Amino acid sequence: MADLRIQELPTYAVKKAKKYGADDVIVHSILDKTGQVKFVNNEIVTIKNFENISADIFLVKDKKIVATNIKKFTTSEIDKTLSRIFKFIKYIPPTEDYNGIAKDHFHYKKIPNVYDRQIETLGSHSIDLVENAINSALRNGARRCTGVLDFGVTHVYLSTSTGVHAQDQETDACLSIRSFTSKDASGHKISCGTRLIDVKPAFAGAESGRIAQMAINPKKTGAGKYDVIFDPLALGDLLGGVAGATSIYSVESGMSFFKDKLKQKVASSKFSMRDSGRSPGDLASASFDEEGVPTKDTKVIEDGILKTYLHNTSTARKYKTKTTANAGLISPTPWNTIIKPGDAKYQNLIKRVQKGLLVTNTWYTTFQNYVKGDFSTIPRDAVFLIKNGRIAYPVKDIRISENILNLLESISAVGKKAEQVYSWAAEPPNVGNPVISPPILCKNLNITKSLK
Amino acid sequence: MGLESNGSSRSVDFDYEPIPRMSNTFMLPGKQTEHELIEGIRKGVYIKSFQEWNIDDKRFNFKAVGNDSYLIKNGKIAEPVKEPSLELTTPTIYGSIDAVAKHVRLMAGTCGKGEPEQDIPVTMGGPAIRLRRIRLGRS
Repeated sequence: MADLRIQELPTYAVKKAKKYGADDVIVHSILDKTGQVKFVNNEIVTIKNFENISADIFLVKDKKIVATNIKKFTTSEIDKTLSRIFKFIKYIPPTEDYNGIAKDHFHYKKIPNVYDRQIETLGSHSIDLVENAINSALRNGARRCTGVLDFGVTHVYLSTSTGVHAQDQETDACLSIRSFTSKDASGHKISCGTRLIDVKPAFAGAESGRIAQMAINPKKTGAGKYDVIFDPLALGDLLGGVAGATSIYSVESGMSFFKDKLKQKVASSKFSMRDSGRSPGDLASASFDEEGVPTKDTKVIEDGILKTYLHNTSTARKYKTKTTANAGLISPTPWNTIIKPGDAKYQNLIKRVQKGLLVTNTWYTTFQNYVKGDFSTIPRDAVFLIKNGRIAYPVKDIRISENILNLLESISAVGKKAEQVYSWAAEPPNVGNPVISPPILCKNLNITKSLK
Repeated sequence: MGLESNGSSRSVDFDYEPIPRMSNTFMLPGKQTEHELIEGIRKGVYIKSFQEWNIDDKRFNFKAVGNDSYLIKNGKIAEPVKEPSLELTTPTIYGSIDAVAKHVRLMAGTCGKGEPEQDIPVTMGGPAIRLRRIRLGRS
Protein backbone atom coordinates (compact mmCIF):
# COMPACT_ATOMS: atom_id res chain seq x y z
CA MET A 1 0.00 0.00 0.00
CA ALA A 2 2.76 2.48 0.96
CA ASP A 3 4.39 4.04 -2.05
CA LEU A 4 6.14 6.67 0.04
CA ARG A 5 8.72 5.91 2.66
CA ILE A 6 8.10 7.55 6.05
CA GLN A 7 11.08 9.86 5.54
CA GLU A 8 9.81 10.94 2.09
CA LEU A 9 6.23 11.70 3.00
CA PRO A 10 6.66 15.03 4.82
CA THR A 11 8.61 16.65 1.96
CA TYR A 12 6.18 15.33 -0.65
CA ALA A 13 3.11 16.45 1.31
CA VAL A 14 4.52 19.94 1.99
CA LYS A 15 5.29 20.47 -1.73
CA LYS A 16 1.82 19.30 -2.74
CA ALA A 17 0.12 21.48 -0.15
CA LYS A 18 2.01 24.55 -1.38
CA LYS A 19 0.83 23.78 -4.92
CA TYR A 20 -2.73 23.77 -3.59
CA GLY A 21 -2.05 27.29 -2.27
CA ALA A 22 -1.27 26.74 1.41
CA ASP A 23 0.51 29.60 3.18
CA ASP A 24 2.05 27.49 5.95
CA VAL A 25 2.38 23.72 6.11
CA ILE A 26 4.02 21.37 8.59
CA VAL A 27 4.05 17.63 8.12
CA HIS A 28 5.32 15.43 10.87
CA SER A 29 5.50 11.68 10.32
CA ILE A 30 6.01 9.25 13.18
CA LEU A 31 6.85 5.58 13.31
CA ASP A 32 6.38 3.96 16.72
CA LYS A 33 7.55 0.40 17.25
CA THR A 34 6.66 -0.74 20.73
CA GLY A 35 6.58 -3.92 22.73
CA GLN A 36 4.58 -4.70 25.81
CA VAL A 37 4.63 -7.40 28.48
CA LYS A 38 1.70 -7.46 30.89
CA PHE A 39 1.56 -9.47 34.08
CA VAL A 40 -1.32 -10.24 36.42
CA ASN A 41 -1.18 -12.17 39.70
CA ASN A 42 2.54 -12.92 39.23
CA GLU A 43 2.05 -14.43 35.76
CA ILE A 44 2.82 -12.96 32.37
CA VAL A 45 -0.52 -12.83 30.56
CA THR A 46 0.10 -10.82 27.39
CA ILE A 47 3.06 -10.14 25.12
CA LYS A 48 2.34 -7.65 22.34
CA ASN A 49 4.10 -5.75 19.62
CA PHE A 50 2.64 -2.63 18.04
CA GLU A 51 3.78 -0.74 14.98
CA ASN A 52 2.00 2.55 14.43
CA ILE A 53 2.75 4.85 11.54
CA SER A 54 1.03 8.18 11.07
CA ALA A 55 1.58 11.69 9.77
CA ASP A 56 0.20 14.90 11.24
CA ILE A 57 -0.58 17.64 8.74
CA PHE A 58 -0.90 21.24 9.91
CA LEU A 59 -1.98 23.60 7.16
CA VAL A 60 -2.86 27.30 7.07
CA LYS A 61 -4.48 29.32 4.28
CA ASP A 62 -5.52 32.95 4.86
CA LYS A 63 -5.17 32.36 8.63
CA LYS A 64 -7.61 29.45 8.41
CA ILE A 65 -6.10 26.49 10.23
CA VAL A 66 -6.66 22.81 9.59
CA ALA A 67 -4.92 20.01 11.47
CA THR A 68 -5.44 16.41 10.45
CA ASN A 69 -3.78 13.02 10.49
CA ILE A 70 -3.23 10.27 7.91
CA LYS A 71 -2.21 6.65 8.34
CA LYS A 72 -1.81 5.56 4.71
CA PHE A 73 1.53 6.58 3.24
CA THR A 74 0.57 6.87 -0.43
CA THR A 75 0.61 9.76 -2.86
CA SER A 76 -3.08 9.21 -3.59
CA GLU A 77 -3.95 9.42 0.12
CA ILE A 78 -2.12 12.75 0.38
CA ASP A 79 -3.87 14.07 -2.73
CA LYS A 80 -7.27 13.01 -1.39
CA THR A 81 -6.54 14.52 2.04
CA LEU A 82 -5.36 17.86 0.59
CA SER A 83 -8.34 18.00 -1.74
CA ARG A 84 -10.69 17.45 1.24
CA ILE A 85 -8.85 20.07 3.31
CA PHE A 86 -9.15 22.73 0.60
CA LYS A 87 -12.88 22.05 0.15
CA PHE A 88 -13.35 22.22 3.91
CA ILE A 89 -11.17 25.26 4.56
CA LYS A 90 -13.53 27.58 2.67
CA TYR A 91 -16.12 27.15 5.39
CA ILE A 92 -14.06 27.82 8.49
CA PRO A 93 -13.33 31.25 9.95
CA PRO A 94 -9.79 32.65 10.13
CA THR A 95 -7.88 32.54 13.41
CA GLU A 96 -7.04 36.21 13.63
CA ASP A 97 -4.32 35.78 16.25
CA TYR A 98 -2.42 33.16 14.24
CA ASN A 99 1.09 34.48 13.65
CA GLY A 100 2.93 31.96 11.49
CA ILE A 101 5.44 29.18 11.98
CA ALA A 102 9.17 29.12 12.66
CA LYS A 103 11.59 29.99 9.87
CA ASP A 104 15.31 29.60 10.37
CA HIS A 105 18.30 27.47 9.47
CA PHE A 106 18.19 25.40 12.59
CA HIS A 107 21.07 23.28 13.82
CA TYR A 108 20.18 20.38 16.03
CA LYS A 109 22.61 19.54 18.79
CA LYS A 110 22.58 15.88 19.72
CA ILE A 111 21.08 15.09 23.12
CA PRO A 112 23.02 12.33 24.90
CA ASN A 113 21.29 9.15 26.02
CA VAL A 114 17.96 9.44 24.23
CA TYR A 115 18.47 6.36 22.07
CA ASP A 116 19.58 2.92 23.18
CA ARG A 117 19.82 0.10 20.68
CA GLN A 118 19.40 -2.37 23.55
CA ILE A 119 15.81 -1.17 23.93
CA GLU A 120 15.06 -1.27 20.21
CA THR A 121 16.26 -4.89 20.07
CA LEU A 122 15.01 -5.94 23.51
CA GLY A 123 12.67 -8.67 22.22
CA SER A 124 12.26 -11.69 24.49
CA HIS A 125 14.73 -10.29 27.05
CA SER A 126 11.76 -8.16 28.12
CA ILE A 127 10.32 -11.31 29.74
CA ASP A 128 13.45 -11.68 31.89
CA LEU A 129 13.05 -8.11 33.10
CA VAL A 130 9.44 -8.68 34.08
CA GLU A 131 10.20 -11.98 35.84
CA ASN A 132 12.99 -10.24 37.70
CA ALA A 133 10.54 -7.56 38.90
CA ILE A 134 7.90 -10.12 39.95
CA ASN A 135 10.37 -12.29 41.84
CA SER A 136 11.85 -9.28 43.56
CA ALA A 137 8.38 -8.09 44.65
CA LEU A 138 7.52 -11.55 46.03
CA ARG A 139 10.82 -11.76 47.90
CA ASN A 140 10.05 -8.40 49.50
CA GLY A 141 6.62 -9.12 50.87
CA ALA A 142 4.18 -8.99 47.95
CA ARG A 143 1.56 -11.73 47.83
CA ARG A 144 0.70 -10.91 44.25
CA CYS A 145 1.72 -8.28 41.76
CA THR A 146 0.43 -6.84 38.54
CA GLY A 147 1.86 -4.46 36.01
CA VAL A 148 3.28 -3.77 32.60
CA LEU A 149 6.58 -3.23 30.82
CA ASP A 150 6.34 -0.97 27.77
CA PHE A 151 9.35 -0.35 25.56
CA GLY A 152 10.02 0.89 22.08
CA VAL A 153 11.53 3.25 19.59
CA THR A 154 10.08 6.33 17.92
CA HIS A 155 11.31 7.73 14.60
CA VAL A 156 10.21 11.26 13.68
CA TYR A 157 10.54 13.08 10.33
CA LEU A 158 9.49 16.69 9.86
CA SER A 159 9.22 19.09 6.91
CA THR A 160 7.81 22.59 6.85
CA SER A 161 6.96 25.11 4.16
CA THR A 162 9.60 27.42 5.67
CA GLY A 163 12.34 25.01 4.70
CA VAL A 164 12.85 23.04 7.89
CA HIS A 165 13.76 19.36 7.42
CA ALA A 166 14.61 17.34 10.48
CA GLN A 167 14.66 13.83 11.84
CA ASP A 168 15.02 12.27 15.25
CA GLN A 169 14.83 8.96 17.06
CA GLU A 170 14.33 8.07 20.71
CA THR A 171 13.86 4.96 22.76
CA ASP A 172 12.06 4.48 26.04
CA ALA A 173 11.24 1.71 28.48
CA CYS A 174 8.85 1.92 31.43
CA LEU A 175 8.13 -0.72 34.02
CA SER A 176 5.12 -0.21 36.28
CA ILE A 177 4.55 -2.75 39.08
CA ARG A 178 1.83 -2.79 41.72
CA SER A 179 2.14 -5.24 44.60
CA PHE A 180 -0.67 -6.37 46.88
CA THR A 181 -0.49 -7.80 50.37
CA SER A 182 -4.21 -7.77 51.18
CA LYS A 183 -7.51 -6.46 49.83
CA ASP A 184 -6.69 -2.89 50.84
CA ALA A 185 -2.90 -2.85 51.05
CA SER A 186 -0.77 -2.23 47.99
CA GLY A 187 2.39 -0.51 46.80
CA HIS A 188 3.22 0.89 43.38
CA LYS A 189 6.57 1.69 41.81
CA ILE A 190 7.66 2.89 38.38
CA SER A 191 11.12 2.58 36.86
CA CYS A 192 11.70 4.11 33.46
CA GLY A 193 14.17 5.78 31.16
CA THR A 194 15.50 6.12 27.64
CA ARG A 195 18.26 3.55 28.19
CA LEU A 196 17.84 -0.01 29.38
CA ILE A 197 20.34 0.65 32.13
CA ASP A 198 17.89 3.22 33.60
CA VAL A 199 15.18 0.59 34.10
CA LYS A 200 15.67 -1.26 37.36
CA PRO A 201 13.17 -4.12 37.60
CA ALA A 202 14.59 -5.65 40.79
CA PHE A 203 14.49 -2.28 42.55
CA ALA A 204 10.96 -1.45 41.36
CA GLY A 205 9.68 -4.90 42.36
CA ALA A 206 11.36 -4.74 45.77
CA GLU A 207 10.05 -1.25 46.50
CA SER A 208 6.48 -2.07 45.49
CA GLY A 209 6.59 -5.21 47.69
CA ARG A 210 8.11 -3.35 50.62
CA ILE A 211 5.55 -0.53 50.46
CA ALA A 212 2.67 -3.03 50.16
CA GLN A 213 4.00 -4.94 53.17
CA MET A 214 4.11 -1.70 55.22
CA ALA A 215 0.56 -0.89 54.14
CA ILE A 216 -1.08 -3.95 55.73
CA ASN A 217 -4.09 -3.28 58.00
CA PRO A 218 -4.73 0.37 57.19
CA LYS A 219 -6.84 2.28 59.73
CA LYS A 220 -9.24 5.14 59.26
CA THR A 221 -8.15 8.63 60.12
CA GLY A 222 -10.13 11.82 60.55
CA ALA A 223 -10.64 14.68 58.13
CA GLY A 224 -8.77 17.90 58.86
CA LYS A 225 -5.47 19.66 58.32
CA TYR A 226 -2.34 17.55 57.85
CA ASP A 227 1.20 18.12 56.68
CA VAL A 228 1.72 15.90 53.65
CA ILE A 229 4.86 14.34 52.19
CA PHE A 230 4.33 13.43 48.56
CA ASP A 231 6.54 10.70 47.16
CA PRO A 232 7.65 11.31 43.54
CA LEU A 233 5.02 8.94 42.12
CA ALA A 234 2.27 10.93 43.86
CA LEU A 235 3.63 14.09 42.22
CA GLY A 236 3.44 12.68 38.69
CA ASP A 237 -0.26 13.41 38.62
CA LEU A 238 -0.15 16.71 40.56
CA LEU A 239 2.87 18.38 38.98
CA GLY A 240 2.03 17.12 35.50
CA GLY A 241 -1.09 19.25 35.90
CA VAL A 242 0.97 22.21 37.10
CA ALA A 243 3.18 21.93 34.01
CA GLY A 244 0.17 21.62 31.69
CA ALA A 245 -1.31 24.77 33.23
CA THR A 246 1.77 26.77 32.14
CA SER A 247 0.92 26.17 28.47
CA ILE A 248 -0.39 29.39 26.95
CA TYR A 249 -3.16 27.27 25.44
CA SER A 250 -4.33 26.29 28.95
CA VAL A 251 -4.16 29.95 29.99
CA GLU A 252 -6.14 31.21 26.99
CA SER A 253 -8.74 28.46 27.15
CA GLY A 254 -9.59 29.03 30.82
CA MET A 255 -7.91 25.81 31.98
CA SER A 256 -5.12 27.38 34.01
CA PHE A 257 -4.73 28.64 37.56
CA PHE A 258 -1.70 30.61 36.26
CA LYS A 259 -3.84 33.06 34.28
CA ASP A 260 -2.68 36.67 34.96
CA LYS A 261 0.09 35.35 37.23
CA LEU A 262 3.13 35.91 34.98
CA LYS A 263 6.13 37.26 36.94
CA GLN A 264 4.18 36.78 40.16
CA LYS A 265 4.73 34.49 43.12
CA VAL A 266 2.80 31.28 42.53
CA ALA A 267 4.63 28.91 44.87
CA SER A 268 6.89 28.69 47.89
CA SER A 269 10.37 30.11 47.30
CA LYS A 270 11.64 26.56 47.83
CA PHE A 271 9.96 25.43 44.61
CA SER A 272 11.60 25.74 41.18
CA MET A 273 10.40 23.94 38.06
CA ARG A 274 11.88 23.86 34.59
CA ASP A 275 10.63 22.45 31.33
CA SER A 276 13.30 20.66 29.36
CA GLY A 277 13.19 18.96 26.00
CA ARG A 278 16.93 18.39 26.24
CA SER A 279 17.40 16.45 29.42
CA PRO A 280 19.55 13.34 28.81
CA GLY A 281 17.80 10.14 29.82
CA ASP A 282 14.40 11.75 30.38
CA LEU A 283 11.45 10.29 28.53
CA ALA A 284 10.17 13.32 26.65
CA SER A 285 13.51 14.63 25.37
CA ALA A 286 13.60 15.34 21.64
CA SER A 287 15.81 17.36 19.33
CA PHE A 288 13.04 19.64 18.01
CA ASP A 289 9.43 20.57 18.58
CA GLU A 290 6.52 20.14 16.15
CA GLU A 291 7.58 23.11 14.01
CA GLY A 292 11.25 22.16 14.01
CA VAL A 293 12.56 24.60 16.62
CA PRO A 294 15.44 23.06 18.59
CA THR A 295 14.20 22.17 22.06
CA LYS A 296 15.28 24.24 25.04
CA ASP A 297 15.68 24.15 28.76
CA THR A 298 13.27 26.71 30.18
CA LYS A 299 12.97 27.99 33.73
CA VAL A 300 9.22 28.09 34.23
CA ILE A 301 8.92 28.65 37.98
CA GLU A 302 12.02 29.90 39.75
CA ASP A 303 12.12 30.31 43.54
CA GLY A 304 8.32 30.41 43.47
CA ILE A 305 8.01 33.06 40.71
CA LEU A 306 6.25 32.18 37.43
CA LYS A 307 8.82 33.20 34.81
CA THR A 308 7.11 32.24 31.55
CA TYR A 309 4.27 30.41 29.88
CA LEU A 310 5.10 27.69 27.33
CA HIS A 311 4.89 28.95 23.73
CA ASN A 312 5.18 27.99 20.09
CA THR A 313 6.25 30.56 17.47
CA SER A 314 2.73 31.83 16.76
CA THR A 315 1.73 32.36 20.39
CA ALA A 316 5.14 33.84 21.23
CA ARG A 317 4.72 36.46 18.47
CA LYS A 318 1.25 37.26 19.77
CA TYR A 319 2.64 37.97 23.25
CA LYS A 320 5.82 39.63 21.94
CA THR A 321 8.09 37.04 23.44
CA LYS A 322 10.27 34.18 22.17
CA THR A 323 9.11 30.66 21.58
CA THR A 324 10.04 28.24 24.34
CA ALA A 325 10.13 25.47 21.68
CA ASN A 326 7.05 23.74 23.03
CA ALA A 327 5.03 23.41 19.79
CA GLY A 328 2.28 21.65 19.81
CA LEU A 329 0.98 23.71 16.95
CA ILE A 330 -2.51 24.07 18.41
CA SER A 331 -1.47 23.70 22.02
CA PRO A 332 2.09 24.24 23.31
CA THR A 333 2.90 21.17 25.40
CA PRO A 334 5.40 20.52 28.20
CA TRP A 335 8.39 18.23 27.65
CA ASN A 336 10.06 16.90 30.80
CA THR A 337 8.92 18.68 33.97
CA ILE A 338 11.94 18.87 36.25
CA ILE A 339 11.70 19.97 39.88
CA LYS A 340 14.86 21.40 41.41
CA PRO A 341 16.00 19.13 44.24
CA GLY A 342 16.32 20.56 47.73
CA ASP A 343 18.63 19.54 50.54
CA ALA A 344 16.38 17.38 52.70
CA LYS A 345 17.07 13.69 53.15
CA TYR A 346 13.95 11.53 52.99
CA GLN A 347 14.09 10.59 56.68
CA ASN A 348 14.54 14.23 57.61
CA LEU A 349 11.35 15.14 55.75
CA ILE A 350 9.50 12.63 57.93
CA LYS A 351 11.20 13.91 61.11
CA ARG A 352 9.92 17.41 60.38
CA VAL A 353 6.27 16.32 60.56
CA GLN A 354 4.35 16.34 63.84
CA LYS A 355 0.97 15.31 62.42
CA GLY A 356 0.91 14.36 58.80
CA LEU A 357 0.62 11.88 56.00
CA LEU A 358 3.07 10.18 53.68
CA VAL A 359 1.32 9.77 50.32
CA THR A 360 3.00 7.29 47.97
CA ASN A 361 0.66 7.64 44.98
CA THR A 362 -2.35 9.61 43.76
CA TRP A 363 -4.90 9.23 41.01
CA TYR A 364 -7.99 11.02 39.70
CA THR A 365 -6.70 14.55 40.20
CA THR A 366 -9.72 16.52 39.01
CA PHE A 367 -10.53 20.20 39.14
CA GLN A 368 -13.69 21.95 40.28
CA ASN A 369 -12.40 25.27 39.01
CA TYR A 370 -9.37 25.39 36.71
CA VAL A 371 -8.87 29.15 36.99
CA LYS A 372 -9.04 29.21 40.79
CA GLY A 373 -7.20 25.88 41.05
CA ASP A 374 -9.67 24.10 43.35
CA PHE A 375 -9.17 20.36 42.98
CA SER A 376 -9.18 17.04 44.73
CA THR A 377 -7.01 13.98 44.35
CA ILE A 378 -7.21 10.50 45.79
CA PRO A 379 -4.22 9.03 47.62
CA ARG A 380 -3.81 5.55 46.20
CA ASP A 381 -1.94 2.46 47.37
CA ALA A 382 -0.08 3.06 50.63
CA VAL A 383 -0.76 6.14 52.78
CA PHE A 384 0.89 6.43 56.18
CA LEU A 385 0.07 8.55 59.21
CA ILE A 386 3.11 10.37 60.59
CA LYS A 387 3.14 11.26 64.29
CA ASN A 388 5.93 13.17 65.98
CA GLY A 389 8.41 12.61 63.20
CA ARG A 390 7.78 8.89 62.74
CA ILE A 391 5.60 6.73 60.54
CA ALA A 392 2.84 5.50 62.88
CA TYR A 393 0.58 3.25 60.76
CA PRO A 394 -1.07 2.97 57.33
CA VAL A 395 -4.39 4.76 56.75
CA LYS A 396 -7.09 4.62 54.07
CA ASP A 397 -10.24 6.23 52.67
CA ILE A 398 -9.05 9.83 52.49
CA ARG A 399 -8.97 12.53 49.83
CA ILE A 400 -6.87 15.67 49.43
CA SER A 401 -9.29 18.51 48.67
CA GLU A 402 -7.22 21.63 48.12
CA ASN A 403 -6.32 24.57 45.95
CA ILE A 404 -3.26 23.95 43.79
CA LEU A 405 -1.79 27.43 44.34
CA ASN A 406 -2.21 26.95 48.08
CA LEU A 407 -0.49 23.57 47.80
CA LEU A 408 2.44 25.08 45.88
CA GLU A 409 2.71 27.90 48.42
CA SER A 410 2.65 25.39 51.29
CA ILE A 411 5.83 23.60 50.17
CA SER A 412 8.19 23.77 53.12
CA ALA A 413 10.89 21.32 52.07
CA VAL A 414 12.06 19.55 48.94
CA GLY A 415 13.92 16.26 49.05
CA LYS A 416 17.36 15.61 47.61
CA LYS A 417 16.77 12.63 45.39
CA ALA A 418 14.62 12.98 42.26
CA GLU A 419 12.86 10.16 40.41
CA GLN A 420 11.33 10.11 36.95
CA VAL A 421 7.62 9.31 36.99
CA TYR A 422 4.56 9.94 34.85
CA SER A 423 0.85 9.92 35.38
CA TRP A 424 -0.93 7.12 33.63
CA ALA A 425 -4.32 8.58 34.58
CA ALA A 426 -3.72 12.18 33.58
CA GLU A 427 -6.72 14.51 33.44
CA PRO A 428 -6.49 18.02 31.92
CA PRO A 429 -4.51 20.22 32.20
CA ASN A 430 -2.11 17.30 32.74
CA VAL A 431 -1.08 15.81 29.39
CA GLY A 432 0.80 12.87 30.91
CA ASN A 433 4.29 14.33 30.44
CA PRO A 434 7.14 12.91 32.53
CA VAL A 435 7.84 14.54 35.89
CA ILE A 436 11.27 14.32 37.48
CA SER A 437 10.80 15.24 41.10
CA PRO A 438 12.14 14.57 44.57
CA PRO A 439 9.65 14.05 47.42
CA ILE A 440 8.03 17.25 48.64
CA LEU A 441 6.69 18.28 52.05
CA CYS A 442 3.60 20.50 52.13
CA LYS A 443 2.24 22.05 55.31
CA ASN A 444 -1.31 22.08 56.50
CA LEU A 445 -3.25 20.60 53.58
CA ASN A 446 -6.97 19.90 53.69
CA ILE A 447 -7.85 16.21 54.01
CA THR A 448 -11.46 15.18 53.49
CA LYS A 449 -13.32 11.89 53.58
CA SER A 450 -16.71 10.53 52.66
CA LEU A 451 -19.51 11.92 54.81
CA LYS A 452 -22.05 9.57 56.33
CA MET B 1 -16.96 -16.96 37.48
CA GLY B 2 -19.35 -19.64 36.28
CA LEU B 3 -21.28 -17.21 34.10
CA GLU B 4 -21.99 -16.86 30.39
CA SER B 5 -20.60 -13.98 28.38
CA ASN B 6 -22.94 -11.00 28.14
CA GLY B 7 -21.19 -9.77 25.02
CA SER B 8 -19.33 -6.86 26.55
CA SER B 9 -15.88 -7.29 24.98
CA ARG B 10 -14.66 -4.45 22.76
CA SER B 11 -11.35 -3.15 21.49
CA VAL B 12 -10.40 0.03 19.60
CA ASP B 13 -8.78 -1.81 16.72
CA PHE B 14 -8.05 -5.28 15.38
CA ASP B 15 -4.59 -5.42 16.93
CA TYR B 16 -5.66 -4.44 20.46
CA GLU B 17 -6.91 -6.91 23.01
CA PRO B 18 -10.68 -6.89 23.70
CA ILE B 19 -11.61 -5.61 27.16
CA PRO B 20 -14.92 -6.38 28.97
CA ARG B 21 -16.39 -2.89 29.39
CA MET B 22 -19.47 -0.68 29.34
CA SER B 23 -21.28 0.01 26.09
CA ASN B 24 -24.50 2.04 26.46
CA THR B 25 -25.10 2.28 30.18
CA PHE B 26 -27.91 4.15 31.85
CA MET B 27 -30.10 4.04 34.92
CA LEU B 28 -33.63 2.75 34.30
CA PRO B 29 -36.44 5.28 34.64
CA GLY B 30 -38.98 5.50 37.45
CA LYS B 31 -42.51 6.82 37.34
CA GLN B 32 -42.41 10.39 38.61
CA THR B 33 -41.84 13.67 36.83
CA GLU B 34 -38.84 15.80 37.76
CA HIS B 35 -41.31 18.38 39.07
CA GLU B 36 -42.73 15.77 41.44
CA LEU B 37 -39.22 14.93 42.67
CA ILE B 38 -38.61 18.60 43.49
CA GLU B 39 -41.99 19.37 45.05
CA GLY B 40 -41.43 16.58 47.57
CA ILE B 41 -38.41 18.37 49.07
CA ARG B 42 -38.68 20.88 51.92
CA LYS B 43 -34.98 21.73 52.10
CA GLY B 44 -32.59 20.50 49.46
CA VAL B 45 -30.29 21.17 46.54
CA TYR B 46 -30.90 20.59 42.82
CA ILE B 47 -27.60 19.70 41.09
CA LYS B 48 -28.02 19.94 37.31
CA SER B 49 -24.38 19.41 36.38
CA PHE B 50 -21.17 18.66 38.22
CA GLN B 51 -17.39 18.70 37.96
CA GLU B 52 -14.37 17.37 39.93
CA TRP B 53 -15.70 13.84 39.75
CA ASN B 54 -13.35 11.27 41.20
CA ILE B 55 -13.52 7.92 42.93
CA ASP B 56 -11.00 5.58 44.54
CA ASP B 57 -9.96 2.35 42.88
CA LYS B 58 -12.26 0.30 45.11
CA ARG B 59 -15.06 2.42 43.61
CA PHE B 60 -16.10 3.19 47.20
CA ASN B 61 -15.23 6.80 48.04
CA PHE B 62 -16.94 9.14 45.60
CA LYS B 63 -16.80 12.91 45.11
CA ALA B 64 -18.53 15.30 42.74
CA VAL B 65 -19.01 19.05 43.11
CA GLY B 66 -22.06 20.74 41.61
CA ASN B 67 -21.73 23.34 38.88
CA ASP B 68 -25.20 24.49 37.86
CA SER B 69 -26.92 24.08 41.23
CA TYR B 70 -29.88 25.61 43.10
CA LEU B 71 -31.40 25.51 46.52
CA ILE B 72 -34.82 23.88 46.82
CA LYS B 73 -37.08 25.51 49.41
CA ASN B 74 -40.51 24.10 50.21
CA GLY B 75 -40.77 22.21 46.95
CA LYS B 76 -39.60 25.03 44.71
CA ILE B 77 -36.30 25.86 43.05
CA ALA B 78 -34.83 28.95 44.71
CA GLU B 79 -31.52 30.80 44.40
CA PRO B 80 -28.32 29.38 42.87
CA VAL B 81 -25.94 27.70 45.25
CA LYS B 82 -22.18 27.62 44.84
CA GLU B 83 -20.13 24.40 44.63
CA PRO B 84 -22.19 21.94 46.69
CA SER B 85 -19.80 19.09 47.42
CA LEU B 86 -21.06 15.52 47.41
CA GLU B 87 -18.41 13.38 49.10
CA LEU B 88 -20.03 10.06 49.96
CA THR B 89 -19.50 6.34 49.76
CA THR B 90 -21.07 4.43 46.88
CA PRO B 91 -23.46 2.46 49.16
CA THR B 92 -24.59 5.75 50.76
CA ILE B 93 -25.36 7.30 47.38
CA TYR B 94 -27.32 4.40 45.94
CA GLY B 95 -28.89 3.54 49.32
CA SER B 96 -30.23 7.10 49.62
CA ILE B 97 -32.25 7.11 46.38
CA ASP B 98 -35.94 7.37 47.20
CA ALA B 99 -37.32 8.51 43.85
CA VAL B 100 -36.39 8.16 40.18
CA ALA B 101 -37.83 10.33 37.42
CA LYS B 102 -39.30 8.88 34.25
CA HIS B 103 -37.52 11.03 31.65
CA VAL B 104 -34.18 9.51 30.60
CA ARG B 105 -31.49 11.81 29.21
CA LEU B 106 -28.60 10.25 27.30
CA MET B 107 -25.27 11.75 26.35
CA ALA B 108 -22.27 10.71 24.33
CA GLY B 109 -19.09 9.92 26.20
CA THR B 110 -15.88 7.96 26.16
CA CYS B 111 -14.86 4.93 28.19
CA GLY B 112 -11.10 4.95 28.80
CA LYS B 113 -9.48 1.65 29.71
CA GLY B 114 -6.47 -0.45 28.94
CA GLU B 115 -2.74 -0.19 28.59
CA PRO B 116 -2.11 1.22 26.04
CA GLU B 117 -5.17 3.38 26.45
CA GLN B 118 -8.20 2.21 24.48
CA ASP B 119 -10.73 5.07 24.41
CA ILE B 120 -14.03 3.91 23.02
CA PRO B 121 -17.38 5.68 22.41
CA VAL B 122 -20.21 5.02 24.83
CA THR B 123 -23.62 6.42 25.60
CA MET B 124 -24.55 7.07 29.21
CA GLY B 125 -27.12 8.84 31.28
CA GLY B 126 -30.37 8.28 33.07
CA PRO B 127 -33.24 10.07 34.75
CA ALA B 128 -33.03 12.61 37.57
CA ILE B 129 -32.78 10.88 40.94
CA ARG B 130 -33.59 12.09 44.42
CA LEU B 131 -31.31 11.32 47.37
CA ARG B 132 -32.78 11.69 50.86
CA ARG B 133 -31.11 12.91 54.03
CA ILE B 134 -27.55 13.11 52.79
CA ARG B 135 -24.91 15.55 53.98
CA LEU B 136 -23.44 18.04 51.54
CA GLY B 137 -20.16 19.67 52.40
CA ARG B 138 -17.85 22.26 50.95
CA SER B 139 -14.30 21.12 50.87
